[in-house]
Amino acid sequence: MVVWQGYTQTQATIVRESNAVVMLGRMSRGFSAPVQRQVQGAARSYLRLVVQEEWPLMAFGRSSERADATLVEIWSAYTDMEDRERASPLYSQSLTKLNELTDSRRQRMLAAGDRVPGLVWVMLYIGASAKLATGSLFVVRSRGLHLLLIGVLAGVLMLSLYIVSALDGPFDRNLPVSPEPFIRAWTGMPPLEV
Amino acid sequence: MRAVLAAVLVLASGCAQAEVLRRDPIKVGILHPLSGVLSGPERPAHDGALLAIEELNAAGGLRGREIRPVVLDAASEPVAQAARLLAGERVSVVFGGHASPVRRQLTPLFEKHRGLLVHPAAYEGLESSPNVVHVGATPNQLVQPAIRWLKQHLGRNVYLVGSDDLASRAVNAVARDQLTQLGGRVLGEAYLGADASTLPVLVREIMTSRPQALVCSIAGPVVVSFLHELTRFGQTPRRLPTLWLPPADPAAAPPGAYVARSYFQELPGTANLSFVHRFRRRFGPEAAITDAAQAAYAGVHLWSQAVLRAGSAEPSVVSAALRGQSVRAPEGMVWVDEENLHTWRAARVGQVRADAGVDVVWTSEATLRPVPYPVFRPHRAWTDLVSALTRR
Repeated sequence: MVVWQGYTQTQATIVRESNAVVMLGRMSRGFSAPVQRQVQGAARSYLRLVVQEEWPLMAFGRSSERADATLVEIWSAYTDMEDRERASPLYSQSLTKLNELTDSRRQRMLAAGDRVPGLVWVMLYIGASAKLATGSLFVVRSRGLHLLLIGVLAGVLMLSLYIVSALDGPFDRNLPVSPEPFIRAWTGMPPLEV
Repeated sequence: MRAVLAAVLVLASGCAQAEVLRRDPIKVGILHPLSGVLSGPERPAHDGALLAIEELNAAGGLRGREIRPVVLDAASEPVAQAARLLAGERVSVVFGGHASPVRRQLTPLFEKHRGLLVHPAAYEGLESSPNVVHVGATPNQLVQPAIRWLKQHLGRNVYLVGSDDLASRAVNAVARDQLTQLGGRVLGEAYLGADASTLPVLVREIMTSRPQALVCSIAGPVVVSFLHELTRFGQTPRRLPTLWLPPADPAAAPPGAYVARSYFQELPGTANLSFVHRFRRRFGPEAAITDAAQAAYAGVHLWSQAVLRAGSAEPSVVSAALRGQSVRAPEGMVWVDEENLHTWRAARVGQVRADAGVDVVWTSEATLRPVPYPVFRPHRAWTDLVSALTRR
């Protein structure tokens, strides 16, 4: 249950992060053309790098140095902004979204390295073995039915352990979280002005 | 029976030929001005490329194939020399560079011949071609961060001096745009031709405008006369801080001046120390290890990795394989951008010491994404500017 919650939370984090990038791109239209070009260019690169470079790396608990760099670039676009532009109400809203993006990214990175501790795994295996052993102590008149019940119990326990293992690493090969929200955000971004 | 024998013989000879082809050397061109005025800043790039090729060959080449460099001096008729490499020698790639107006003539030539040029020097940007890989930094990777640093540390009132050429004027346009966006002021802008007679008037004008810093992008021998004139008027870098931007040759910068580059030979780290050691062992203890030399070295490694990835040295195939390629260069990680074939690099500012070495005083927080057309103006406005400067 806890592992499943972590998995769905990671999914929600990813949606929140990709939405924040899209919102930053949209809100940049309210600023001068150079800011707009810089934010949209960096946002587009960020989405592309997260999908193409960072997603495979996250299976190993690593991040993309270039995705980090584009996030720094987006921050620079706002910290370098002229006072006149900072007066815009969109400025504080953009900073809120930028904080949300940074925060979600950090949470995603933490989730990539988050694992069920070894001690918990030991307890899970001991618990499963104990349950199987106690189950076999029940007396059922039919030997065949008894074997069937034990078999079903063993199957359910094995499946539960597999699911915990698969959901444990949300970016591993088994049941990985989909980068679809980032792909949609990336392909949905309007082309840069030429 | 006879037909089967003939088929076997044809197949065997085909296999043997394929084996010979596989063992054929890969011809690559190295094209830099190696004599004349430009040889000073360009020779280190030639040396960097050559060192990388020699090291790759010493390690067994590329899948057993030797990389054979064809070196031509681009001091005279550079476009004809490039055409000779592409059409005559049929090289797989050319590692080379030249002054901006010439390099811009090379780009259509490489596009026409479907060749591949790997250009190592930091440049003014404002171009992008599927046939040219720019390992050198673009203005957003050097000029913009250096101007931001200058405004924070030296002051907001600046005078821009450059040589009267495309690269310098384009770099100063970016510098002006960046400074204006940051709330700084350009007090004046001047461009020097070959004639040094106007220098006293210019230096007086600079002194009258009382800038807090001078941004210098002067290329060529006139820089010596300019520095002499500045010193004659008592304007040393200590009294008037000076920031040197490309295309100015940092080797000409006087002690105390600030220089913006992605790489300095003084960078710490075992990778760089080893590179400097190997470079000096090959080219002598006095050899200049410039930003372009290191970029040329990294450029050869990026190309060789792309050849291995593509399984072919065919330029169009390698060009595609180069996208996203990365290498741990002496300066740190360098990536080829997937979209514009420029590289992701860090920016640095160094201060020239009395012994001509450099103290690195600032390094960018992160690697910088290459943006060949700076964000201050639309793409078309930049191409119009380049056209206007080319027509001058």
